Amino acid sequence: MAPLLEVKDLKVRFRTIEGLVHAVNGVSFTLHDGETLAIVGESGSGKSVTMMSLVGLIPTPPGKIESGEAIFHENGSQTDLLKLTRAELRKVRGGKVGFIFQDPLTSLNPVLSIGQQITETLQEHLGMSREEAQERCIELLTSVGIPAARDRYKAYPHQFSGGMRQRVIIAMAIACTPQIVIADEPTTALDVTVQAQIVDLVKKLRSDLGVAVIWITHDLAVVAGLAERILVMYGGMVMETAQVDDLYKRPQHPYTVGLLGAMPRLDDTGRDRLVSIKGSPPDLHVKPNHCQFAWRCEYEFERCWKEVPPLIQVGENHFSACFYDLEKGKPRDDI
Amino acid sequence: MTSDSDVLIRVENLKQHFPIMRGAIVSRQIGAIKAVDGVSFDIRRGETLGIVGESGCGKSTTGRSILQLNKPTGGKVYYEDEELTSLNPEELRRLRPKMQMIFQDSYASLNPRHAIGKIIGEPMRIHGSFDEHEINDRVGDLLEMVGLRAVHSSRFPHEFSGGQRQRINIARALALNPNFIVADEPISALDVSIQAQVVNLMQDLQDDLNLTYMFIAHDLSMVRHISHRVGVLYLGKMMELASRDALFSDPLHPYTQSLNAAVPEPDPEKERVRKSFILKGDPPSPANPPSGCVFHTRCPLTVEECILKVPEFREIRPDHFVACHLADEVGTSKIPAETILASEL
Amino acid sequence: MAHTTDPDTIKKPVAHRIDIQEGGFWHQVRYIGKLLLRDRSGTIGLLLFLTFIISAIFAPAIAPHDPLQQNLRDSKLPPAWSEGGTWEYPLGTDNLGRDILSRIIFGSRVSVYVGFFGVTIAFSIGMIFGLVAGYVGGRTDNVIMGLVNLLLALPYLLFVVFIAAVLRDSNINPLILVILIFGITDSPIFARITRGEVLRMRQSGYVESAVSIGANTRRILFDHILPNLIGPLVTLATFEMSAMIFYEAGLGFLGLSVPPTVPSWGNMLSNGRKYLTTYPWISTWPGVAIMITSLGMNLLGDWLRDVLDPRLRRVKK
Repeated sequence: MAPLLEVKDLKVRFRTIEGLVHAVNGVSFTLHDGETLAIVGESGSGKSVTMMSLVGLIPTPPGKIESGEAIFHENGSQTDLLKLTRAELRKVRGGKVGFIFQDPLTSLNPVLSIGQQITETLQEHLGMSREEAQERCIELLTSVGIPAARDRYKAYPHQFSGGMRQRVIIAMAIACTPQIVIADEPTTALDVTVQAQIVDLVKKLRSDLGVAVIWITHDLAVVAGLAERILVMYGGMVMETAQVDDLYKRPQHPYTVGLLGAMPRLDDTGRDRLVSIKGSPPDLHVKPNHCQFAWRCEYEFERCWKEVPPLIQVGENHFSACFYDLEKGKPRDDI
Repeated sequence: MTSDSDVLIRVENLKQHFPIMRGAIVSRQIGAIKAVDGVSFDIRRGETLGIVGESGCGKSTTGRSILQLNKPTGGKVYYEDEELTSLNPEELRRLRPKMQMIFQDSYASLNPRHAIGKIIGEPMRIHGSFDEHEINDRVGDLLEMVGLRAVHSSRFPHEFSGGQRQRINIARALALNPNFIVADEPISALDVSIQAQVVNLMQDLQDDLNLTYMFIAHDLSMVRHISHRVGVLYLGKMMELASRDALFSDPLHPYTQSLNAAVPEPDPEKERVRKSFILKGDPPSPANPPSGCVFHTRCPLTVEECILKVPEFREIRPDHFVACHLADEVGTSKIPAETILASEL
Repeated sequence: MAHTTDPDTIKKPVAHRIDIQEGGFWHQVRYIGKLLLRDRSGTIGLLLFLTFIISAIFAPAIAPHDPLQQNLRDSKLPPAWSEGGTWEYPLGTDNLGRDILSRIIFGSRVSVYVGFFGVTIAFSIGMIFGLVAGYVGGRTDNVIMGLVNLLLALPYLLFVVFIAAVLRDSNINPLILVILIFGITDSPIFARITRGEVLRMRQSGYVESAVSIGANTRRILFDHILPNLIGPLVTLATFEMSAMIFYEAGLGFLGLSVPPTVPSWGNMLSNGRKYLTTYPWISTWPGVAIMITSLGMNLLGDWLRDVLDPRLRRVKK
């Protein structure tokens, strides 16, 4: 598969009253054409900041992209997204990259009808006339499962339920047939039955449109059937990345193991204790100079405190940023 | 059948209707939001009863009505032998230490201006005549019990993380040796790795102190993990109530089946082939619930009786209650996904 | 190099990390101290405010002359740095030869009394009504808010004139009258803000928690609600005090405040009106005094509001 987006060593920090917050500390990954990548992490892991900074959605007074590249491949040409001007980034957003955010209530303008909001995008990015945009809008709404789209497109956001609103957002995201859709916790605020519907919808759309999807979440269960590759983040860094089956069957990083163990499963017998990871998320005010997870890791040893572990290959297309070899049960000696 | 001494809480036909008023100077009631509309169940000593349902089902309201934080508009609630709705405020106040609540927002439920030692010790200052030494000792013990340290008692809520704050809430709830704790979405706002910590703590405390929990949540996997029995609510009514294993492996109500089918597992192979059981339509509003069985507008099996008559909440199998006219027929097989009249998807 | 902090321990209570809404008394004092040093306008506001208070309290000690003493020989003298002025009367004298600086210093007393006591009355009445409205709710709330809205709708000046006219012939000290009137007419805004805060607190969880552990109404009000009310209300009080100083000056200008003999900034403004083109300093200096005092109080209020605003709480992501 051809690479679509290559992120190299991205570092983002924020200036706050209490000092610098090192939100993203050297994140690298590659997204391929039509691939679905899940970025999994808890709060403070930097998963959202990483994605938002690629398309200029981080407010740059407090935030600053310290270093890194984000190469976007298109028709043979390469553009570094981090070097684009504001105006150029506006064209990217909506045109090449679509967004689905967590809270459908605040993502939609309450005083505009949903038709107006979608046609606005279409006219802006694709230069359609009003009539063309309207027709396309109705097509889009139907494709995301909004019944009686011709009548409903004049309705306002508050007249829709949460799940319907999220579908409208999805329609807006794919309106200009972008190459990438970034979904930031799109189902976290939804009921479980609605979540299932939205996941199904995204599956259908990506097979119809061939769009690459980046799905950001803290829930390893919801992306299990959706993602092709998973990136696990913690403390602003990538801990592990692998093809989906590999990650769930053979997790190599202690954090991933911990996350998987903390989730209750159907085949739980009795009421066993969940595997819990001791401690709390790291303090991002300190620039990391050792493994961010060391404080909470049960396998930590000396080396973990001395350097930041690089991503080490532990299988086909499977990398883990850890000096300890879980399968052999001892520290790695070949790095 | 469970004997009476096993039952700690009994809820009979509990109703909580919130009036919708119109008019500024002279207000009229023009309707009501039937948040809880006739719910009956028992909670047995030492067990964890999980209550699940989606938004608007009334699960939070049920918990608060049981504890009389909102006075129920109908029905009765028994704590041991006391009928709570008939107690006067003073009697109720004195009973409160035995029935406690843990709220979802761990930060909002702690007064930001009080040190946590003061917060945890407050129940002891309100009830009973302990002196300062006794209170401090007890606060220290409670902090250790929930996995914090006694020296932390002079710190303030904002100095703690979400998981730690929830532990503080638990410590306060335990201050006067309660028997019953209503946990209203206690872990929803916490990170996954912290959720496990808090849930493990709650289970340990239950074993050590013989606590009875009502665990309200929308996260079915967690409810499945921690509960002994589970009740499913929809639009203010209970659809099914059974032991944990029975409810999840052999659900008898179509709604329960759709919930189960929708919960994802961290297992890629299973998830790829999972067929979702998609309910049609939107959830109705509790201000205007459907007639007959409140679930009939979205149920794939609706027949005429469902529209006309409210199904009785009855015991279809030993200790397995269902409110569905067709419970006997669907009892032995789950609804196959193909028979569902899904939306175009 | 420092390790990342052990996440298992509690964050150290570094002063600048503490939000003013949180923490006990001494935490807040330390925080306020740090913030003052950082924010110049707040410091200026505080200094101006203190100057104002001190001049009111120590007026007899500070003022160079007796404010009531007339001295026709020295009348209409310009400020000291102008031609014809003398340092004996630094800011000049008015048409009756009274020292303007002394009159301004003594005039601050009237402003302080009106501002301080007026606000105290408004604060007390408003807070009590707002508390009852917010806490009890229901019909009581509707009734109280109805009254509040009624009071707010009254054109206060007409109200004042009416009361003043009605009570003019009685023996009530006009200053007390002014203070009472201001106190009552300004109470609605305190009631509104209090009610809003109480409603917010009832939603916010720790009040409900207190109920769930069996706290009675007294404990909830005194331990939970009142301490969290002080912040917004104190901020409001500084703004209202500034407003009252203005109003008093307005009343004095219209001759409806204290009698013309008692030095008040409003009276002085009114007095100097005839001489604006000839001896402008007679009105200008009291005008400047009013302006500076109001400015100081507003700066102080702005700074307090920023400091006490819970929305500035750190947002976790």
